[in-house]
Amino acid sequence: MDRREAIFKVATLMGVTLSAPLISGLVYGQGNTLLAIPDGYISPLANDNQQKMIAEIAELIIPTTKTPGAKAAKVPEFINVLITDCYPEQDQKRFFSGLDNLDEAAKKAYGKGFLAATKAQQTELLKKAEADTRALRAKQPSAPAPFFQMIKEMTVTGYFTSEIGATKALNYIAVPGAYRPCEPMKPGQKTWAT
Amino acid sequence: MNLNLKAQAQNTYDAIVIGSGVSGGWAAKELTEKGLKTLMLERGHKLEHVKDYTSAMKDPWEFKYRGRITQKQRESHPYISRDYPYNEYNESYWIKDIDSPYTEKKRFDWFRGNIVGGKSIMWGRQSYRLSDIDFEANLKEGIATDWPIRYKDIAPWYDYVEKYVGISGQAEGLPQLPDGQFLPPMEFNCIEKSVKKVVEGKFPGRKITMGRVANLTKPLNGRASCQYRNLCSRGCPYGAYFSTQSSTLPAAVKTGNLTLRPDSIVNSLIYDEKKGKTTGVRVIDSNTGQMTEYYAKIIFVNASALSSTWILMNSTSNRFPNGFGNASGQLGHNLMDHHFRTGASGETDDFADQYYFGRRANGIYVPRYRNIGNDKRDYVRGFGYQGSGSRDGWQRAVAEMGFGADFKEAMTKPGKWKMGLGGFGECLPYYENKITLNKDVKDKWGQPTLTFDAEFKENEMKMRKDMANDAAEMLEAAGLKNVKTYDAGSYPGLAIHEMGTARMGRDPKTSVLNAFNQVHEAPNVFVTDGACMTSASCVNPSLTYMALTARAVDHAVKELKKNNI
Repeated sequence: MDRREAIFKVATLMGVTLSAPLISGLVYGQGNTLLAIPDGYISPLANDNQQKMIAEIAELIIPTTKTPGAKAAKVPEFINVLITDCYPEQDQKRFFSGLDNLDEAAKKAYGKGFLAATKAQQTELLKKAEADTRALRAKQPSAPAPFFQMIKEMTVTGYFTSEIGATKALNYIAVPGAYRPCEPMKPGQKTWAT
Repeated sequence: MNLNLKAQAQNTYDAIVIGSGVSGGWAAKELTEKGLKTLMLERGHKLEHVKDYTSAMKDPWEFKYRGRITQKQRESHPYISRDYPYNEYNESYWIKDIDSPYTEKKRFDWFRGNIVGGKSIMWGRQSYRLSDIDFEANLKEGIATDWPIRYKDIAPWYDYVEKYVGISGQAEGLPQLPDGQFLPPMEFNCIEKSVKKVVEGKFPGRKITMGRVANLTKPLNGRASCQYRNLCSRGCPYGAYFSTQSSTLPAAVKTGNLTLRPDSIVNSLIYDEKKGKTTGVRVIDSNTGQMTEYYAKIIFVNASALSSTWILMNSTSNRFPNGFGNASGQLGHNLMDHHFRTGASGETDDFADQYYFGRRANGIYVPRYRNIGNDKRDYVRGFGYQGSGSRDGWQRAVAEMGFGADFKEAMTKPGKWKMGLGGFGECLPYYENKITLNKDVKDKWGQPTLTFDAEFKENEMKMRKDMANDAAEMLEAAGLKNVKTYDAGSYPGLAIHEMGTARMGRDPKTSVLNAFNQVHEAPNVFVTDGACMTSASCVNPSLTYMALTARAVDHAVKELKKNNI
């Protein structure tokens, strides 16, 4: 059901007559104050290696399975936008040095950079990064979020709020129109996206 | 001279309402429906119902930052960016802090709207009545000053506004939380039903009721009922919750008696020393900076609690050298807010095969039970809980260990049922909790600003212990697992229930307003927003402002007809 159809349906259900200008306002009156993420956006703060690492790590966190993964959902673009516009400088520095450190760790362990490593090697490196993050958080709960925590948070948020994540991996209904508080789960029931 | 007279006539109305939020909208509706030509002034920008709710029908992925604010916004909104109500979805509805700065002797989170409709667009919509337990508390305990009204004075006005607003809720017959004119309540989900049953059985005097909320569960006056999207604070295209735009403004416009002027910052009230009377207001156009005077017989000050008091403080004259109507010296004092952000949560393995459909824009409510009847604590007053149950969603992925294919698949399945209870506690009216006029720091338009000096004290701190422990006790009794208390700390202002600073009272020597919200010393000036509150109760206050406003307008127009004002 598209947005226009959803509005008509709900309006009819409620016995409320919405005027034509109101409907067009709802469907088309989106204004220009909010902008979607530009396709292929790359942060001016990221070098080429960092940029590619962001995409690979996001896809390792949320890979393509039965449903498309992080890359298809444009999560790398989202991370680039977020780190550029929404984080203070010290967080940006920690994020990008975290990427560089991971690259260094790959060189030390496997004699090649993160991007040249195999999937299995990359996965091992991320597992270690996650374990280190856990250990640090346990020791210093109020410490600023380490790199792995930052990229994981951005990846899962970016993915599950993307059109692919919300509508394919999860179940999204823009206008429920009703509240049914308890009902048996359907086979294969997915989490509500919102 | 002729030109001046003409301009003066053009700028003269029967009544002026300062502010277009919850209480200003009600003042405008009531005044215009009683036949008064009314000018409603709003400092914020135009926000047309439905058409201007530009984010309301957007899907999550249509937001560049998925709800987050940017570093630039943090810099331009240094105070309100400290908490969640200011976000990408409705960022244009809020005031730009750096244009209107304030000074914090102690931290105060001041959330100010900057739109027609004010915070009636972003409000939490929980709507409860005060009771005589609230109205009598100051007198019985010898705290601050006595309310000049009792429940019987306001009860018919609660009825009156509720019928028009549309409040969904369940009647419970509790003396501490009087019932109202309710639309059918929303429904409890599995975990809430289960916790309710146990708590009401094991804890006599405690009740879990459905939140009383200004969201329609049935169409009303051409407004559709709630669509269970839970996106209220973006503005509702269905008009399904009470806001100025959905409810009071259309009624006022329909009379043909309303003039609405956005972008109009009220600088001060005009006091005519010769006439010995307040004759109008001075208004700064926020775009041009130009000052214009408007005149009326009656003025309703509904600028939101602290902005209303700011206007009174900034309105000095020979008659009122220390602030308008401030012979008592109480103006700016007795600042209150609810303290909150403490409670408990727990989870269960039960109901694993059950889920819900739709997003209920409401939670459950536990009415106050402390210091009621024979219950006596080591603090006075009490608290209520707001809470809700739900199944964990994908958001748990942020904190849970793991990544990759299995992790992704697990996150697409609903998680555990969880339930939380968060207390909202009454704060006492302390004289020393105050705002003062600061002439050293000016706003963008060259006006003085406010300095905040307020804190929660011992009574509130003791109450917070109960707020956390009682919540955990109830959830544990209900069989929930992994029950944890929390106290995230509470600063005045964060609950956005700021109240007091121009309190009502019986005696002009100890209060600013009388029993009808009239300034004791200026009977044609009324203040009917949060500024008027003599004590805070523990319930969400907006419904009370609506009832007091309708009651005050009724009184004002009767007095006007008798030529008393």
